[in-house]
Amino acid sequence: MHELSIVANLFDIMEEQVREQKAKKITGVKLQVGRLSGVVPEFLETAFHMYKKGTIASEARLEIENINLTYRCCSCGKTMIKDDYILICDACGSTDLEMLAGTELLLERMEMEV
Amino acid sequence: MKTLVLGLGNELYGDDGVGLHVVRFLRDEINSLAFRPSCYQNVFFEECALTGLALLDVIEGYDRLIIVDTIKRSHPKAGKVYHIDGKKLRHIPGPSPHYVSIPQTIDIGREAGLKMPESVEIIAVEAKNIYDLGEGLTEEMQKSIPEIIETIKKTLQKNPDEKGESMEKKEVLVLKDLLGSNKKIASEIREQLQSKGILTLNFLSSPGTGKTSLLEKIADKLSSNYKMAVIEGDIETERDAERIRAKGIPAWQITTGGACHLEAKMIGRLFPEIPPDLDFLFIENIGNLVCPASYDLGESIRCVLLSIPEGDDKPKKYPKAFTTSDCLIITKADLVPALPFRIEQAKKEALEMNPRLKTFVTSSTQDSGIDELMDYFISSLKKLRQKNA
Repeated sequence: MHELSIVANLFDIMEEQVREQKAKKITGVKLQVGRLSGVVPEFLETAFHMYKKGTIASEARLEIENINLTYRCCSCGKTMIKDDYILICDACGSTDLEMLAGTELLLERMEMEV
Repeated sequence: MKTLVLGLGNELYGDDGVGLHVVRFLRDEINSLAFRPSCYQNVFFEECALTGLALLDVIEGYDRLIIVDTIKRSHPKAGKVYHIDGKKLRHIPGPSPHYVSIPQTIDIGREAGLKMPESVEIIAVEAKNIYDLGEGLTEEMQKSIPEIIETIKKTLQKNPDEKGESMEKKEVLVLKDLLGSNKKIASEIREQLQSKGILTLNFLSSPGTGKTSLLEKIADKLSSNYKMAVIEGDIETERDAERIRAKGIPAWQITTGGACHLEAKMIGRLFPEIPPDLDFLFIENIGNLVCPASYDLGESIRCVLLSIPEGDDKPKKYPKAFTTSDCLIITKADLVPALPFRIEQAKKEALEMNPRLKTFVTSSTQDSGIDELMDYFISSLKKLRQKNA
């Protein structure tokens, strides 16, 4: 359960942005969390709202977009979502799949008052 | 603050339906936004053809009410938009006993003990033909739709209490990896160790898989011909490092005091102490099949260990550990006769998730399968050195 340490990293990046934009307040934060990111979105949310207290993000809301595990078949080119982690192409049966998305753990955007 | 944007009118009376039309349009637009700005948070949209006291049910429970409706003047200009503060509306009674004005409706609601909006604003749109039957908006009215929508948006962006002095909101696209700082340190570590010709291996598994026992066995096999060292990660105690040191192998113990995984910076701190002439650097991660999988430590090879007592169903249960590893080491194979573990099933499940996984079946107590594993480590070291040369 390393979500709190990830939220600490998130606040480091947010602070950088606040300095850069000379913002007075953070009002919104949006994250992209892949299915294979290794974190639990609900825990991330709890950690975020716990961590923000007393900071300039104290009124910030958090939005999390869950990203599906998406692969592309290197043999036939088909793109597919693989929730079962079985890396066999739905169309041609190849196991040569390239991951396109699903491991994200990104701060996508922030809304600030400047 | 809970806000209601209420479109009033009747679509059967031509331009009288403009309020309904724009509110519907705006709702769809805002609902389709990937990221709702805060001025649109807690904003609700309703369309209705009711008037007078019948509106009480619709407007009850909101803090702020923005009404979009048509007005008729003596010489109307279709589509002209006004923003009217509700406080300026007169409490005059309507033209007939059936008619109750908005301020009256709100007063009556409050008297009745209902929660009525504190702030009322009206976006009024001038219209010509609001009494002629007929569907659809006139061309004149259609042209003014963007302006009406813009007025509603501006009204929403302004806090009614702030009297127009709202701060400027800025949205910034950041797109930064939350594990970016760890990844950066890890790739520096990897680059430095690889350039020195050191093969670094990160051992990942649940507690009690036999990571330390396997490392003791590896020490027996490798130490006569190769120089190795071990970084031990645990929550508490020096026990594992002591076991490795007893084999004459240099070992550092990292105790996290509670943290569930090692991070690249912890390895970085040990960097000055790592002998530059090593062949193998083994990192034994904290016993945990979840969190360590998210943290690159700068290893060249990630090994996931799975022991027979854990059961053959683990790969699918811990996808991150198995999909990010290079090598699966099944341990305690000597227990197979005693337990219902299907080695082929575990391998199959792991390979479905990660077809490039190298698999090994070992027993540290019976010294089986370890030689094959050593061949893999030694050939990986050779490959690394060839690449450097």
